[in-house]
Amino acid sequence: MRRRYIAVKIELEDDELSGCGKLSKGDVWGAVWRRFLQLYGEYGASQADLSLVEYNPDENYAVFRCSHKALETVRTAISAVTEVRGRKAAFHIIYVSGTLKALRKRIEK
Amino acid sequence: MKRVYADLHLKPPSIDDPEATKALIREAARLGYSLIGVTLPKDVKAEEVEKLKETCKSEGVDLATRVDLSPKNSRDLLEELRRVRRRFEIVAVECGNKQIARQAAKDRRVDILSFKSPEPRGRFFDAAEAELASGALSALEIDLAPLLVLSGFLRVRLLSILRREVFLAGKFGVPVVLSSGASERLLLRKPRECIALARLFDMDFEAAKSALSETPLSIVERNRKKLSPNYVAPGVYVVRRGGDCPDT
Repeated sequence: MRRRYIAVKIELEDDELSGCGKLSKGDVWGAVWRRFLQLYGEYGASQADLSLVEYNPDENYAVFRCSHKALETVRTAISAVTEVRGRKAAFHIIYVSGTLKALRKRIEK
Repeated sequence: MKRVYADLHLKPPSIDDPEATKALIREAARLGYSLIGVTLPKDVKAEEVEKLKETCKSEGVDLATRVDLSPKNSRDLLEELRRVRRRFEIVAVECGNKQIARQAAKDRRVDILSFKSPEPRGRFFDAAEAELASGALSALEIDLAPLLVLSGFLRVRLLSILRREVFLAGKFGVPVVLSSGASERLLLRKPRECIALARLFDMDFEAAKSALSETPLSIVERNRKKLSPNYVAPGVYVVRRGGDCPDT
């Protein structure tokens, strides 16, 4: 099955204002997964083959993997995230690639 | 050539809060917008607009001044249009009732028709409205912020309304403008993300791209021409001034 890797930058409201710590991998995954289920339901989720491959809490970067056929629905769900663990947030897609190696190369650039 | 994207609806919380306004403009520029429309109060001073233009220039984006009218009735709308049309590059009307919606749709001075209510009864973009709007060149604006903020049944209902409105707009040839309607930076999305969100109400890729690019750009370009001192009447412009022009 062909897959797509999606690099996402997570923007949060100012840390000083919220007084919260760093997000965990579970927080990030939960925010996207919940949104995906809200928008496309369990049937859609079963077709997306969505998973969180990497998360860097220092840089607030995450890499998601999904089926290439579900790329647009996953893109929509990621864009629709507005909150992570009670904190206002915005997820911005930086790159989409067919391989993890190519994605990492582009992020490093 | 690189495509130029526009977000015609940024709503800074207050023009008196320059930091919040600047943060919103900076974020829009960072996300890839080249033209932004900022909603200003009707009585905004020229100096404040100049300051805002300077801020936009320093961030590398073009500013289009916008006013949102919320008239009580159609007479009120006509009066407000008379007052503001020559002062703002974009005039949007929030259609609070059917009478206002019909008047706004047939008035050529209105650029954008905006429907705020998430209730089906509070939105008046039906076939008759679409027909009037197509004749007067007004565009239908879809704000994406409510889609992000609402949840559950309210969002489901809004999506169903937007799907119907986009269908009607396509059928009657009414231009559609996709805007963020953001009052804070975390409600802004990249153009490509807005296109993805537009899929939720069945707007196809090319139509969504055009609603973020060609349509808003053409509205601003058309109005800038009209507001320029060289504009005389529709289709008539001053092309040269000065001593070498023969006296009539």
